Amino acid sequence: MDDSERTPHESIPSTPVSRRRFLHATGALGVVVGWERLAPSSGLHAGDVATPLFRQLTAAETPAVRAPVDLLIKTSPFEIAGRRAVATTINGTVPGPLLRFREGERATIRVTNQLTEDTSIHWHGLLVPNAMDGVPGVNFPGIPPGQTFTYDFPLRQYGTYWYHSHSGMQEQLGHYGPLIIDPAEPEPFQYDREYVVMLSDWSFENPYKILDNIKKQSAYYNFQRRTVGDFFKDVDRAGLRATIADRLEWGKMRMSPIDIADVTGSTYTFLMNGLPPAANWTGLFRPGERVRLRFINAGGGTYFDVRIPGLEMTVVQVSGQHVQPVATDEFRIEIAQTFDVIVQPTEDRAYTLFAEAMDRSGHARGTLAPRAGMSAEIPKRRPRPTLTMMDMGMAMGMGGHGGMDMPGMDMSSTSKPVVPDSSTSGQPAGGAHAGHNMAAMPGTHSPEKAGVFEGQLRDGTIIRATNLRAPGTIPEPVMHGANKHGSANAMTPMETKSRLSEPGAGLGEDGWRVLVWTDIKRLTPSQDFQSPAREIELHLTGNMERYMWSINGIKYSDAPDPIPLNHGERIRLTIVNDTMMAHPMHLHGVFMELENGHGPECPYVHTINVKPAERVSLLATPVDPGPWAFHCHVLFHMDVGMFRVFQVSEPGGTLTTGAGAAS
Amino acid sequence: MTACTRVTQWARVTLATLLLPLLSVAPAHAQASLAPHMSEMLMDRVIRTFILAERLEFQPSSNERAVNVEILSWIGGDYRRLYVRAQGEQSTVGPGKGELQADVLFGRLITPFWSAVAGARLDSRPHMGRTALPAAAGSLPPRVSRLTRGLLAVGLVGLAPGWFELEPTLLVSDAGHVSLEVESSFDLLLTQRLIVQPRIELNAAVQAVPDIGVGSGLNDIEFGARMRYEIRRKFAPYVGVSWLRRTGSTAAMAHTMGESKSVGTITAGVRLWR
Repeated sequence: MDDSERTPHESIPSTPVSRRRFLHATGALGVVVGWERLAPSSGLHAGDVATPLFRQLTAAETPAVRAPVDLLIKTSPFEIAGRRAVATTINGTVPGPLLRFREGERATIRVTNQLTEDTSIHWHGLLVPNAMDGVPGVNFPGIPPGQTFTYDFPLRQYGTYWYHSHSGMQEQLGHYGPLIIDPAEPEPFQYDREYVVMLSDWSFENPYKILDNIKKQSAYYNFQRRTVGDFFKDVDRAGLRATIADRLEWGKMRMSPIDIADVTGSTYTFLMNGLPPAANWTGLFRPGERVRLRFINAGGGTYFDVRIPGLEMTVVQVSGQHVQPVATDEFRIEIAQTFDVIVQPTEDRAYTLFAEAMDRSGHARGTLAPRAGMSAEIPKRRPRPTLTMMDMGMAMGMGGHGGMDMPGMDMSSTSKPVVPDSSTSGQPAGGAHAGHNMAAMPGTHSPEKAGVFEGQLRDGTIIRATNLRAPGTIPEPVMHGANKHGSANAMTPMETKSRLSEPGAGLGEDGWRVLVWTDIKRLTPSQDFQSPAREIELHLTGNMERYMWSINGIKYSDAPDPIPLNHGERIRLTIVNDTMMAHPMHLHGVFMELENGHGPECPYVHTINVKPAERVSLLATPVDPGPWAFHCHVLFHMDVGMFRVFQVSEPGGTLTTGAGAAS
Repeated sequence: MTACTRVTQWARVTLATLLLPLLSVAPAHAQASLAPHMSEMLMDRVIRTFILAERLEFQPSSNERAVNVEILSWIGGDYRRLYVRAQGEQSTVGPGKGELQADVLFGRLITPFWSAVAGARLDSRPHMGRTALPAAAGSLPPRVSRLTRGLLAVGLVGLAPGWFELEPTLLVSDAGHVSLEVESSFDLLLTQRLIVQPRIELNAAVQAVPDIGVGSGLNDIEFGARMRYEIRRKFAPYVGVSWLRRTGSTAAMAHTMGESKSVGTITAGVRLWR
């Protein structure tokens, strides 16, 4: 392999990243992946961590040090479709340069800030020491104007990732770029050529202004609302009675079934590798070649539905980690996620890379072609999806009862086996009266786990340590109790359940395959798949009328304490979406194993989409001590408070088990 | 002097109503101090200012050829806001026919869709009573005199099921007169930018205040519909119609002043916000 082809300064647009040809003797799928076999390292206490899931470098190991990478953050002129703007750039481009490393190396990256405000870089999905994670106010103070900060960390993993600013609104202004770590071991698949396909959204409006607009009118950018005309269309289709019932139901809840995206194509131009659709980013191939496409969604607020008409895509990596290859025709990539797929175009023709915004208000587009300058037909965008009562957590046959209006709902009257939900926060608006309504929330102490706190933390997070279900299984449906998340939460679903097997709103009815999360299995099953010792449950909450987004009804600045985690403990993180919007939730500092029913084959993720009324559970074994951010990657949701910090204890130490508990 | 007393009284009412709710929530706010690990990274505490000119219009068909203004503004965060509302009408054909109501209210989000508001109103309108001011020879006609009152206001601002904006306000004047006004409107989208807004407003009073032409019971009810075109979200010209129906003794008093029981108007204006 030619090392010079992997210099960190390669830029993305329109040139192949690399033409290396992997010709492995076996080449077969199923090659055991390196880091899984590595022994635990120093710093871990025996019995503390049964299986270190990711490689820890020992002091004895001196990784190869690559020449330091210099990144310069400054504003630069940026032109989209003939219109000029000023972007916040890394080394002068949007996206920033491709950073390419090798697993086991040590990365040294010097970031110089030439902006007039603080900046930062977060390495999305990378397992780095806490001080290198790059979230101002959580991991470090940020990089002040005129100063240089040196990031320095070992590369303990392989895969496709990305990096971006965690300061202000810089990411929305172009401060993001792709990052690839080539594996130390041969990869279990072959390809002849590879491209990064980085999707993003750009607005000529100042992002602070965009937020101000949606804070004052949440539908400001939605030009696909239901009109009088739609009413009559629905009457034609479904009948007058059903249409009126539908409108009354949504009206009663004061929820909008067409609220798919907050910020839309009415202000966004959707980009592929920094280019608008008309500029037609093109990746070249020779017919018959296997082409690896590393998709990264760097959108600030846009989920993309990706397909290449005429080509089957084989997904080989998710969140940078190997998965059992799965063939599909389309996938929805949540914000901040990465999917690596392999395609094999055999015909001597162009293929359109089509990435439709989830709300169908626009698309990003590029082309795979045997020669430059070619293009293929651009598919028509599909109609804007409409949420259904399922998205409000209406169990079948239960329509007609809205979450908001049923605080006294008798759960015992349903025939389903239900688990009473103790999870609704008793926290009133403003987060000031913690503890008041929590007297009824028992901090039960199980006899067999004496001393382990169970109950509710002051920020409304639920902790359980007993009767946890088997690891890797899909969560049972849970009836949601009354809305006790306060005025920060407009509704609660009647029932929350796993929706990992659903493609999501607007997908799955086109006659082609759509990737779902239950299709994804880790390539190499875990040899030591541990049960969780504790379950931590958080509810995603929001009030669209005021564009308030929070966790457990409490926005970040009102959340009293970080959520304590013990070093090396096995936790189950359960995320329940009480809102009508999808939230791509990202946990820093640790890979999560998505419990999608495949037991030891549960895939690793750094980011997971949580659909409306969905209950998602993930396993994690945090080992790197310090405060780690957890937040929604719809950046405006994060900015207004859908954000928390998990505090992982030092090795050997445990955080007070009941720390932050409701008194 | 009565006028002077009224002003002092109004000032007192205003101060008391504004300060009380602020004081009562202050401790709660102070408790939620930022933990050391949280810095300025998030923008979840930004204080915003919203100013909406819901109506900025001319009524060419009315007798008074009136100019009508309605402003709704607030400053604050997610949960607590200071509202300033103002509504005014001014004749363009003769003096003295204008009226103005300005509210300063403290509001707190109490449920996801409702804020409770409390504060004060300054209400200024033409004096209807013929005996209120002795008409000296050669002085201006009595209708020029104005009555300015301070009122205490409590109410709700919110969104009712079915997407109805609803603002009920209970008012108590410095003289102890109690009245109620309710405003509701609804946005009906003909297209993404062409929006019809039906609107209803009703006024009722417990005690009659003949000085300003208010009888007891339901005073009046007004139906209106405005059709706006949102050239931009923040800039929407409109045309509209409204129909005011006075009832009971209010209608009778209006009649003696030469006003009719029901008034229909055509209006054109612009809706703006920032």
